[in-house]
Amino acid sequence: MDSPAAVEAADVVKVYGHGDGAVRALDHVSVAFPTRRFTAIMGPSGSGKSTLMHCLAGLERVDSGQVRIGRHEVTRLSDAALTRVRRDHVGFVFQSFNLLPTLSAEDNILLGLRLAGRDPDKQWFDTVVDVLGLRARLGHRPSELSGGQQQRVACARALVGRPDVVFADEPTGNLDSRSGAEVLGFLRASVHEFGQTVVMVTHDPVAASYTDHGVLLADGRVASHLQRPTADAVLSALTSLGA
Amino acid sequence: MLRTVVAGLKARPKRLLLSAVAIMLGVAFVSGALVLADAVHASVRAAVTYQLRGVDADVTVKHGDLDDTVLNQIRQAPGVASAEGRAFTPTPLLVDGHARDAGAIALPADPRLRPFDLAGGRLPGKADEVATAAELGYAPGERVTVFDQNGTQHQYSVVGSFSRPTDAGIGAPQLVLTPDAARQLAPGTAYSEIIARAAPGVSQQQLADSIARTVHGVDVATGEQAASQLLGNAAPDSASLTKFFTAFAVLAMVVAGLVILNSFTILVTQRARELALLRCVGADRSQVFASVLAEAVVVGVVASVVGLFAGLGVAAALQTIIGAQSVYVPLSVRSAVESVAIGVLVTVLAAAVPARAATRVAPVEALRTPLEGKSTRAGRLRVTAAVVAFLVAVGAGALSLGVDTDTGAALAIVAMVALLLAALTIGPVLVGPVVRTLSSVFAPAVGQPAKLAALNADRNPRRTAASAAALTIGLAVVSMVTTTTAGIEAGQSRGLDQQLAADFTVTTAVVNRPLPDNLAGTLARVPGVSVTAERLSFNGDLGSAGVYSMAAVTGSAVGSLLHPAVLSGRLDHLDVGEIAVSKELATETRLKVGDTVAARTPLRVVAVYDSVNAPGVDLGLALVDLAQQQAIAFKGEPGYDESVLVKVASGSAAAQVRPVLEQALSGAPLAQLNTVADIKEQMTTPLRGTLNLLWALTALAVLIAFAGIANTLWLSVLERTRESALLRALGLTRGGLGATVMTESVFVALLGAACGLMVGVASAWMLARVASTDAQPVLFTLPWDRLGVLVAASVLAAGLAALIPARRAARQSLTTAMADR
Ligand SMILES: Nc1ncnc2c1ncn2[C@@H]1O[C@H](COP(=O)(O)OP(=O)(O)OP(=O)(O)O)[C@@H](O)[C@H]1O
Ligand SMILES: [Mg+2]
Repeated sequence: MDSPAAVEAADVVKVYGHGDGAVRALDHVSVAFPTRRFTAIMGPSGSGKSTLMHCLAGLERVDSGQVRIGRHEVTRLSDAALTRVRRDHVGFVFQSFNLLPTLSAEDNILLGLRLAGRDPDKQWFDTVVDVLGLRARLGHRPSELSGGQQQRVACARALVGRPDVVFADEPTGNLDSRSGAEVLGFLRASVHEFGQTVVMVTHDPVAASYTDHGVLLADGRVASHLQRPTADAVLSALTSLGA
Repeated sequence: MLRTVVAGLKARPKRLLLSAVAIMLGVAFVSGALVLADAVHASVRAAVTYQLRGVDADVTVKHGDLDDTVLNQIRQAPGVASAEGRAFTPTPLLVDGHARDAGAIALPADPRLRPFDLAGGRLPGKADEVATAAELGYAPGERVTVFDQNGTQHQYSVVGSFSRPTDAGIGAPQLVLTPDAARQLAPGTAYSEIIARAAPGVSQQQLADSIARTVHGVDVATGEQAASQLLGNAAPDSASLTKFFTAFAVLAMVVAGLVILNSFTILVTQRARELALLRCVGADRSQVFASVLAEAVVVGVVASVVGLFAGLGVAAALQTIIGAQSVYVPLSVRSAVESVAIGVLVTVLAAAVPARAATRVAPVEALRTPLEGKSTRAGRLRVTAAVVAFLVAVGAGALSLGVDTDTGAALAIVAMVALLLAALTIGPVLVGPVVRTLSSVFAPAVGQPAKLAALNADRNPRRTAASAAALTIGLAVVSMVTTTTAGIEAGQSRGLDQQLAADFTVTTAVVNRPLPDNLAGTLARVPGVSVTAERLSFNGDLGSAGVYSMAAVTGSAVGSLLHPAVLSGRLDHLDVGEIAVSKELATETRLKVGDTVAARTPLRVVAVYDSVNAPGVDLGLALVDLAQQQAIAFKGEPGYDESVLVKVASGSAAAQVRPVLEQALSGAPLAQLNTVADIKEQMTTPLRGTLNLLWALTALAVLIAFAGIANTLWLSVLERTRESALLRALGLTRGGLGATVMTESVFVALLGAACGLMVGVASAWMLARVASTDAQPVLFTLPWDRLGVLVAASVLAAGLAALIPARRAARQSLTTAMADR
């Protein structure tokens, strides 16, 4: 690893449920995500991708092990402190329901900063909005935007606060291939041109091919790593896991 | 954050509309009560000002009389421009052959010291002329007949009419006579006060001082002092009225608070995903809490301001119901601020609970597929709490039966509240079984919608129970009051039947006018009458024991015509030298059977009794033989409220004797013939009036509850948009979907009404047991008609409340509904 990790999980265990019904979603996972890199978390359905991301983002408590975001060890933080860490250091793009339906695109983009009481960096805001081609859509409500536009608004919101890391869970899962490619292209550009760090969960080999690095999960464990994955490489790696 | 709140409110105003209506109605009531208090005060103030207008000094005495000598002295005092004596002469009027209470004043010579304004015609100039109050409706030229103290009739011709405020309870005369005529009617009457007007340049204080120096032994007040005294005397009355309305305003606000609580709970549940997203994006708990509260504040402020103005209407309506002559709606800054503050406070407090719940929404929930806000099934804690509350109710209820009335009443209230709490707590547990039962009852008639309605109502039992709870509270109060009133009525009726063996009473139409001499003897000779007795009230001087309002009765009638409940001793007749004391007097003076009362003539206590208090048969605090009355009357004062009890002979029917009695009484217009049924009617009329007012007041709380039910349904319908569309796609008709919502509403109302009725009726039963005494029994009878009206009205209102949500559910287009979200 050439640069210090932006986010790091050490020996993380996450179990859902109790007794017979218990599911070990993460089984001693240790993984680091370097800064200014676009990383994919991949794996078959049910392998624990989303769970890992939730744990890394401090959305879900781990049963054992540690998670570090930037300089913050988050596993033992209070809810209030964790909220502050999320607000100041983490951005999110989800598969769906990313935006508050009652707010305009611009208000949605600025929501996080306003909650934190921070002033947006005007220049950075303009850059993000222009790169994403959202200038003409700022006044629209989410219901007046296409799915691709909604995801781009979500990307803008995730990036506008210059977080230490952006987590994206299947950001293109609901999009057609053209809109998907636009979003993925933007996420890659935000890493390579603007120096952001992005961690994306996906089971789509094509999406993974936009990333610098892939982490493969199987049954809640890290199965392998892929450098500069291509769609073919991902596909064969997934097939070899029996997915 | 504020932006989010405002945007949310703008985007979904309808979701909050009905909760706003609930608060609005509640605040309307609160401001109505406050405005009413101000209005009563304002009308009293206006009347007082009117009464004392032009008065610069007011002279009264504590001992002695104010007569013309004093009046002349005052007129001679330096600085006095004019002075008038005021006396209120009771002048019963003959209307349609019967006497009617009325009073007269003499026409003051100084036009500026007249507490009335001429409305038409002219003022009396001769001794046989009279001006009458405008509301009596006499036209100039008509003749009126007035009784003097001895019952002699005098005739006057009406020459004009006048107006003045009447509803302040400070004595408003119906007639204005010339001073000569007034003196003739009541010779030797002293003035109750003498009023004086100052000469130009003399201040009120200077005038009062001057009079005080000139005349000794009198109290002199300036006009202003007299006004504030009069105002002070009238105030307590309006205060108790205000308290009464305030109690109902509190009830309305509690119910409105419940509606808000429920409505925000639903809103928070529905918005769980949004709130979670906010949390993901960085909102901390306090921000989420604040966002929900801010929404409540906005709703509270808007609804309260609208409610405030609606309250002016409520105040006007209440004044009409209580029969005020002129309607005032003064809106003081204080009432305005208080009403809005109460409205906002209740909204915010009620929203605080769901707002706290909102902070517990975990950020990850934004990432999960939306689950419908399904509340947990009734926990063991809930059942335990309900059982504890119920046991407290039973315990307090059981204890209340064994103790004295006051402690019993306190315990009964504890039991009632505990019972209500038990009903409200157990609500969610009842929802399932109740709606399933209702569904099987309704299913044959309504079909599939009944089944769907039951499923819908049961899928979130806590929500359903909460909407029903608002109704439960209102109906518990109404049904308790209704049942208790019915019990009191029945009790009075039974008490009267047991204690009065007479078939008729003859009472005097004007309380302090005597009946014709020896009327009892005259009536006893009427064919068909077996026996008569005389009764009158008087102030009896019992020596060291004190002066009490007592009754004197033909001694032989006690035990035959009158059977008060005897608590100790014997009361088959009453002889000279004997006295029977009431339970109250026995308690107060510790007199008991066998004691001797050291009145002017010694009286031996022969019984302690308790009696029903009915017009014409009031037995006061103690009872003596008629022959004894003169001897113990306080200062030799005459008796008042005289009556004659008449029993018909066993062979003749009361209905046949009645015309003969009326014939015998035709020469005595002051005498009023009442059957026992008339007496019962007279006893229940005020009770009925109060009950109607209570119904009107509680109706508002019930209305709020229905706004709550409509609100819950509306929100549920919005929540189930996709599901409803699916049902429609699968073949449920529009009508069917609407019927489902209506039926659910009816189920909720029936649940709420049933709980409310049970609590109310149980409370009424308890009250009846606690308050009932031998002499004044309170029975437990179920007023089926009124309770039936309540249930029917609930079902009807539930149907109406569901109209809008049902329309919305049915109107939804299939495709937009499926695509929504
Ligand atoms: N809230 C939960 N409660 C119980 N079990 C859960 C929960 N969330 C996830 N799981 C289980 O944990 C395991 C990992 O789930 P996870 O959502 O992380 O998988 P995934 O890799 O994201 O799958 P997909 O590609 O289908 O999204 C699965 O077996 C899942 O059933
Ligand atoms: Mg997943």
